[in-house]
Amino acid sequence: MPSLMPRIPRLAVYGLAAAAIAIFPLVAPNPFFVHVGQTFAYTAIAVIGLNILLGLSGQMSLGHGGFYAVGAYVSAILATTYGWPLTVSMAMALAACLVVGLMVGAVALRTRGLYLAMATLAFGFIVEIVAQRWVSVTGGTMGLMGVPQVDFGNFRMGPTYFFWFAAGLLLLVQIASDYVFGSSIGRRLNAVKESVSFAATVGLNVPLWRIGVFAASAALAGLAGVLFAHQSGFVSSDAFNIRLTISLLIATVIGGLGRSAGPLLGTAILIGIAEAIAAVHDIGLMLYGGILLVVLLLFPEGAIGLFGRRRAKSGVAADAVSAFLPALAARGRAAGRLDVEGVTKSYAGVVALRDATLSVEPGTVHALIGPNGAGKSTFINVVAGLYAPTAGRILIGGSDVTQLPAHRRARLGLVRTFQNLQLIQGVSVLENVMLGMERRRGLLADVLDFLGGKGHEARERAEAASILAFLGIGTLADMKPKDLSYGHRKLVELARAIAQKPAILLLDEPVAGVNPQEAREVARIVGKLRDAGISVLLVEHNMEFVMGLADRVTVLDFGNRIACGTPAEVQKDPNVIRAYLGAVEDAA
Amino acid sequence: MIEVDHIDVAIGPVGILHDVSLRLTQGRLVTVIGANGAGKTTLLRTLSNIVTPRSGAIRFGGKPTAGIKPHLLARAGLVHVPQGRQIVPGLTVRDNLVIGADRVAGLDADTIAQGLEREFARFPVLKERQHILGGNLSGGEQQMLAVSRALMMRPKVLLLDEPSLGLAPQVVTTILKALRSLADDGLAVLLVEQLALLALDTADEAHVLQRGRVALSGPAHDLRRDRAVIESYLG
Amino acid sequence: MTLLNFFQLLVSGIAMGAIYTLTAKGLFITHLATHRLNFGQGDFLMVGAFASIGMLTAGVPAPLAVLGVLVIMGVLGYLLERFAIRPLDRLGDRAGAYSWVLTTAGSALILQNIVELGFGKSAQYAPPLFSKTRDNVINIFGVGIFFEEAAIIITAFVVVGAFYWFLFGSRWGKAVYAVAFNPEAASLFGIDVRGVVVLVFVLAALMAGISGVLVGPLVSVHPHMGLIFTIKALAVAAVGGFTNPVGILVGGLLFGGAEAFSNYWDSAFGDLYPLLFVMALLAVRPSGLFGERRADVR
Repeated sequence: MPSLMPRIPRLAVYGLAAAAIAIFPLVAPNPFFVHVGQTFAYTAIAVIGLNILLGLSGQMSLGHGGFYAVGAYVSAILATTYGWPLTVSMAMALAACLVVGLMVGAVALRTRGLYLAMATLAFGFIVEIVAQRWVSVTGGTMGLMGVPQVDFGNFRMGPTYFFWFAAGLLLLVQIASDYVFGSSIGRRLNAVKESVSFAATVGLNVPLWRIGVFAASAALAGLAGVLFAHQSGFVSSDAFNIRLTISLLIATVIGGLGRSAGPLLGTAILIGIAEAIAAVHDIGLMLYGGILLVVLLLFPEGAIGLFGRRRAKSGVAADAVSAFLPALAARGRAAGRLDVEGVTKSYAGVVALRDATLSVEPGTVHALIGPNGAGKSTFINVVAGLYAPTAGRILIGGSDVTQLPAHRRARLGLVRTFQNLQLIQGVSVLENVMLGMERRRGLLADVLDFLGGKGHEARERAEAASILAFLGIGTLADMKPKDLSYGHRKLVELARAIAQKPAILLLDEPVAGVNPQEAREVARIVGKLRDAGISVLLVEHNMEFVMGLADRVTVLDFGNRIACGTPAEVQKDPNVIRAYLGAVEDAA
Repeated sequence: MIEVDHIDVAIGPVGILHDVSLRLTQGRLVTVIGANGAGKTTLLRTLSNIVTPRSGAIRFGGKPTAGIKPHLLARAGLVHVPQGRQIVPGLTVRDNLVIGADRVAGLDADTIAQGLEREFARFPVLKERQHILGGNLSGGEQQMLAVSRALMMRPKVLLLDEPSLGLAPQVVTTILKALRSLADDGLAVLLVEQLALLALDTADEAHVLQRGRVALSGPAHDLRRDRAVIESYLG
Repeated sequence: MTLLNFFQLLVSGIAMGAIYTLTAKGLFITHLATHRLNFGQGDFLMVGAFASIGMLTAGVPAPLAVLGVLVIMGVLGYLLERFAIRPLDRLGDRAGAYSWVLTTAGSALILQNIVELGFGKSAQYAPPLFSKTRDNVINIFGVGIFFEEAAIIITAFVVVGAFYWFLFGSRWGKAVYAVAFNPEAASLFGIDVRGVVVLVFVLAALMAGISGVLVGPLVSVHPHMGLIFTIKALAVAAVGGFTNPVGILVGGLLFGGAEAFSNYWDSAFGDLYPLLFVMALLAVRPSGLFGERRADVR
């Protein structure tokens, strides 16, 4: 598959695949092979949908058999009972699956994974029962007979045409899947999967992404169902019980979750198993259950894992990296103004932050200090939009953003880093930085680049590499975040934030756990960002860092602001000495 | 009571502690100080076997602890008060106090009742609030509860991870005083702290941890006076 | 609908609701302690039902048969934890976030197959547990209700009561709360976290087993009946808010009652309406009818 052979242009691989599809039915020794080929093609389409859902976005569905059934029945009933043309009935069936997918996926928006698993399980069950009992429409277990087949009017060549049709669709879906896995879409789904707060911070509308990927995945299952209905010309409710969903899941995990080529391998293995089990039908369920357990527990990477792990390659030569110069984004200097007015935040009656007021002037560094538990983290989270304040207003560039969710604030140029690092472990350092970037080109141009092979996302990669180089960590581009030291991960997070082209940067303890030399380097970088016109609000314990860098300092204690001024003023303030630096002075 | 010999600890591929050694004996209060991320918490987690060292040895009461599960170490008297207090919010103060002692062999109902009285005398506020849910205590009360919960288990060694976290200065003083008198009564106390100067004032002996290595050790009193050293290590 | 009818439906509804509650309790306690649960809980119930049928029809006295079922279920609960849950912890990051859904569902398929091989695929009824014949009617305030149903309701409530005592009154229940809050910290207070996890899975299996014994005389029993009970127990737990043990009791009784009446009203699709209602409810109120009982900790 393309992802395994990066050196061959993708287009050539897809061309070869198309040629193989064209030739296969002509050289197949008997019609049985063509039939298995058809089944493989549409089943793989459903599995690809599940793989994107489970592997990339991390959402569980135990109801994909339901979507498959909806696709099959809608198209079969419209074409058979009402005599609609196949093209229209199929399109209607896909639309129906999208709509139902959006409805079921709505549960996913509001709740955690368990509820989605439960809701999808119930959905699949309801579809099965309705299909079974609504005999006047579905034919129940006796089935619908005489469903039109896709034979383009040629009965003898029908199976061949159908194979070309189904396999052609599979090829298109596989290309789309490869693109999703290899582009910003896949990275973003990974971000949504791993950390909701990270995803919101890089400007992603998490609910929209979740429901979107769920509905798309449902539609792919529906497409498989549509093809199934028009393959054999007979649709009965027996085909759509929970075992169908389980089979699709088995193919997904057995192939290898979260790898674009996994579903093809998994579907092939599934069909092999299904053929083998036909002989030992009595213990079929046991084999299915056993396979699920064994694969999940012993080979969690699936069959594709046997071909080696996917390696990230930045594709950027070290000497070709241009020098990065931080610049204020087109939003302009005024956007770099942050005003926090009288913000109060309480949790269940406990006040964590009381009437906090603070203004960050454009192009300045403002530090927020205070003892542990003083409300600094709460402050940052309220400003970034992860928590809603109990009272008060937050303004960016003079406009009120108190009601805006985190991802909308991020798009206005309010960019943050996290104290307990939020990096996406599933992708490389370079790709983490790229997550901060907008896609520069239109979708179509990006897809064409992707198919062409070499130049895909080259500019983004180059820019991300130059940001890493600017921070002195260019050599780490291909590593996974979990393999880095704490200090390096902090710098990667800073790089990701810079890639977002901030107007205002919120830094939550940027030098905690970083050695003094690295801390001085961070101070130098933050200074350069300020010189470029970016406003910085930072929370930090390291006084040397704060006092050497900040233009203004605000001191919080127990949720109250106790001082605000230049570093020199704050250091002399008796309240501050008592609350914070106090531990030093008292004891001296 | 505790001997740590040349341990190396890594979490995944990232090395956290390198060649750390220390001794803790009865009646001594030893503090480990250092910047955020220096490995202080990991050191305590290693001592209670939540994290397994890559090399080196830890002995408790003369016996190696390798392979002993954390809950058995705790029942044997190596009690670790974790960071953030970890009071079970849905249980009452009294239930929180008893939950550990309930599982220590040889502590019968009478001993537990005596223990409760002793802890109520140590921190009277706990007695007042004994029927309130743990989640509804203030931070300072929770920290007292956490220390008392550990003492209910009749520890031989007490490990504390940043008991000052998020507390008002007076509360910190109360807690540190309690620790000091516990050590004076013969307990072995290992205190990990961010508030270095307060910790040095309380402790007998100190180790400064810097990026996973013991950069400096000595009597707390001597380190306390050496201000230049402290500033360069604790930043 | 006559008044008599109404009461009879209500009693049947409460009987089924009590069984759903029992089954859901098992889901609740494993979810509380481990954030995982058995997607084959209904299949465990099915195994409990068949085990009791097998023993009762073989002439084992009822009390011994119940004991036998409990032993079988306890072992199954342990095996589930040991082979479908624990290995996932060892895999850590390499296991997907919801792999437990698939490993427990896969175990359920194996159980279905085993029962199918032992008892055949056809539906059967369990002999009544508490009375000689199935249609033994007793008269309460002028309303005739089946003795079997009344006894099942009483038994179910006794078990629910015992469950509450365990959770709120016993030291093990407190340990479950401590593990639920933070397993690592719990181990530092001397709690055997792995032991608690095994305990909750065994307990969940026991709850499913008791439900299976009780449900046997009420509905027809077949090897593939489990899925529907899993779904309904999940629905009940979700209505109750998963973390609220009292909510689950109320949710179970509401669900059972609603189902009895909607079945009466529409015999073809009546059993689907309560499920559809729960799904709609979850989309609107994700934490269920009663929300989550949780002290705020920071």
